[in-house]
Amino acid sequence: MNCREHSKLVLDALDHPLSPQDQARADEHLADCSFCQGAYRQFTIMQREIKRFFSGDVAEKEGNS
Amino acid sequence: MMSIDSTMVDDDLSREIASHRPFLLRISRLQLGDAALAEDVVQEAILAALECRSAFNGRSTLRTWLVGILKYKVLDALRDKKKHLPCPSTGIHEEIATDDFDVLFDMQGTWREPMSVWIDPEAVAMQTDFARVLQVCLDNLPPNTARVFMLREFLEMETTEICSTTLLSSTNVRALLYRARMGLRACLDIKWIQSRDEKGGIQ
Ligand SMILES: [Zn+2]
Repeated sequence: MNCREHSKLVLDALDHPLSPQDQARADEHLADCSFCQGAYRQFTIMQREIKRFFSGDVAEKEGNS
Repeated sequence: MMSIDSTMVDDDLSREIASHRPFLLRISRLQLGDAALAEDVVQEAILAALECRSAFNGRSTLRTWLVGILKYKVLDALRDKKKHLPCPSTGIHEEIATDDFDVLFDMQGTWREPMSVWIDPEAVAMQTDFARVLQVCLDNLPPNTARVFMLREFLEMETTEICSTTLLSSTNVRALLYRARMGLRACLDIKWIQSRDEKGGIQ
């Protein structure tokens, strides 16, 4: 497992659960890789804010769009 | 076409409904990839909202309620207008090739650069700022990529549904979703940090 494969699995996991094998491989890589830990933090914030945005749950100051 | 602003707006709630129009239009355009159709769909959604505005109970925010109505209208439009779905003639094959993210990784497939640390937008005001940056980044996505991404994240379709809606293979849907998210991350990485720097950083 390298970082590129890890990024694919992490993003795939947003659409369907990973197989136990893939999940284990991803976890193992993440535990040892500070780059992927950083990417994972970014993806987590991104995904949460995307959900918020599309649910309309963001207050917007109108007139500056 | 009826003008919402002059004829329909007769109370504060109606006025507020109309004020969400730019946001609804933005989402509708991203999803449908057709400005005129997007406009019609938003018009329908707003008219529907105005008609049954007494049903708005304040349990969700007004915008959330409107987004729910828009979803139904967008789904109707997608059912009606098969021709507006992504098709191979509109550059979708270029969009599916995700090689352009390979520059982020070295020969071993390791990230070339350590990731920057994003300020987590926990405060509501910051969420608004993040949303503004996210809008810019969504607009920067290639059109088919954006539309497949929207099917997943806005209409919340399962990937199998996306395949049957777009007639794309699951491999291609997966590739487009990967591309959308990698593209958004890269864009947000620049623009969110920029936006925080402009705010003075020390907060
Ligand atoms: Zn890694």
